[in-house]
Amino acid sequence: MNPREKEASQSPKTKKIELRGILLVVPTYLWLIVTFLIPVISVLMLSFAELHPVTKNIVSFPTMNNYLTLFTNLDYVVVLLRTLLLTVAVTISSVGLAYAVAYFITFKILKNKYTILLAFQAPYIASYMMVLLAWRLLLGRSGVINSLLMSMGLTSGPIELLGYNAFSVWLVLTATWFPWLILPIFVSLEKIDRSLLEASQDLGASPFTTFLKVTFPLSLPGVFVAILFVFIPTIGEFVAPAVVGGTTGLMFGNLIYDFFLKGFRWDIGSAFAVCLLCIVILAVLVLFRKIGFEKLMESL
Amino acid sequence: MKIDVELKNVTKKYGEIVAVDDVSFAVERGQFFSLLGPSGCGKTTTLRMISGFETPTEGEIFIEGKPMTNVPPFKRPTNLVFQNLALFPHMNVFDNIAFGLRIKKVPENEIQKRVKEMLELVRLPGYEKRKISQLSGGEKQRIAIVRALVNRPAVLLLDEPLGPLDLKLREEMIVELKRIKREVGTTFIYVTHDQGEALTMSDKIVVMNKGKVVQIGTPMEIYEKPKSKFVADFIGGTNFFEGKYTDGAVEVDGLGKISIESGAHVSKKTLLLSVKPEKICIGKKLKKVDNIFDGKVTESFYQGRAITYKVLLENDSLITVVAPSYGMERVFGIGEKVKVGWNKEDARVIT
Repeated sequence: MNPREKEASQSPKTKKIELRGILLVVPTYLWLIVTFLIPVISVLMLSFAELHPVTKNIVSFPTMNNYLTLFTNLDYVVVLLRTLLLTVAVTISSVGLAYAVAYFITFKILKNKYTILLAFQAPYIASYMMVLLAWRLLLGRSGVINSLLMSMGLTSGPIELLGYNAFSVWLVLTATWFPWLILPIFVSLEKIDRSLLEASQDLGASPFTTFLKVTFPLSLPGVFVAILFVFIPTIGEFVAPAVVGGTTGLMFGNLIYDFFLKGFRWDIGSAFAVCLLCIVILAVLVLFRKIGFEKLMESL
Repeated sequence: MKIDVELKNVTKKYGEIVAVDDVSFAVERGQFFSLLGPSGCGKTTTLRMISGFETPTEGEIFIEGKPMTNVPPFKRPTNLVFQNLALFPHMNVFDNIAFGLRIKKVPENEIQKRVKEMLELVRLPGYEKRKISQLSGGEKQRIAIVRALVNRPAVLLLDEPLGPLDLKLREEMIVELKRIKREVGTTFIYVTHDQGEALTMSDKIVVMNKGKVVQIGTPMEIYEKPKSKFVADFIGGTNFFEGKYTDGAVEVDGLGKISIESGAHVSKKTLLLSVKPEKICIGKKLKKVDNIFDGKVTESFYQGRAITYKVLLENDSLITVVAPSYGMERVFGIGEKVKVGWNKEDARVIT
């Protein structure tokens, strides 16, 4: 069969396959449109509207007032900055911790690797709320940790850092996130061909240089996924700060929550939510660009 | 002659399993040295001990006269071409080749120069910016070789690098490797299970079996003068005949006398003879051959350059005959009665 004949005989079949492929993805896209796109568009619209505080009728549209509320109020800006800072801190610490554990499991543990990996996921058997409440008991000026330290005479007064504040939010979020992040990093470390690491050493690189030049760059896809896994939910987090954040550990998510469910200012809440969304999109784009995600994945 | 690599009574055990058993050999400077043997014979383990990725349980390895026991792989003057090549997928061709030089902090302009030289050596100039995933099998092969060679190692170690290539490409690479070897002059230690590769390229071959060295010699010695049944059979296959020695000949039951060259083996009563398939001629009538026997063709394979026959002799033993297709009249059919024969110098006594 010459190539042209082959092409001719294949093309109807290829079309059929294409059609079937489209039919397969359509339900998924419909689902996404209904559950994701419609709510997001409503929030977006709402953020440019002004609602009557009592009747909830639209007073004016479009308006930038909701956004002005955010950027003209220093308190809100402070919370936004704190949120960004906390998110970056939680991302760095939890990804770093997860990387260390994943590296250890991948390269240092020879037996029952997967059992140990699974054991790290054990905390997720308990519900998030339960874990947070446990932390609430442990932390706090008169929490278990501080009381214990004082009763043992190790400290004369409570350690302020372990009270309900931003530090505690960071601590709790890092602790709850990092086991989950081990998985993507482990997968990409495990995928690295061991002979590459040997090749690096054979070419004169010490184990440390090998890590910097071969192991780490090749594990970046997993690190990238881990960063997304922790960054996106953390920036919108409102439960942990509500439980262990006290007054100084409040996050942007708490503001949005309050506007929607306490103050009933859906219009302002929407504007705040849109801001958060923009930051997430921006961060993801920068990450994509910085790491050259597609290129990196292709080369593997 | 200067010795570049020397193994003295090297043994490697994994628990109860002895992978390499009391292996000793010396590799002279500039030699193309092959470790040949079936899979699991310990050749790769031996190579990995030379490169430092495995530590001998007993014995010592010397490279350029220095003991290597406590020297980690990254401090040894050897470079290894890996079986799966192990090119870094996240780097382009240039960065792959420059990897070792950058570690050694060679100045950048020197690196540029040496990488360029290396790419010219393997006839891939201008390939610097290519991604590894864009290279063909043969190109990857060459890049892997120069990534090691660029560091000017005392010894270049090659772990069956031609394994995954198809036949034609492999033949090309054999020629290429020999040329590279000639141009750079570095000592090569080459591991393979393919006797054809080993015979074609090597100056010297170590044949290994079950962790032990069974014979060391030039390709011709290994092929023509095998010292054991294993070597005779492993290198190119062979036909064995066993019989009693009586004055100038070996008497084989049901077959008759096979005359052999007179040698020092007269003292032994039973002798094992090896006759290589291509040393046997086949025809309706044979002249000027020392030993002639009747036989019946049971199988024939036409292979282009040669025809391989399985011939059943009168003592019910099946022998393999490889006849060149040059000057051939026709291919004998299955069941045809033929005569097979060989000269006495081609019947080798296995001690």
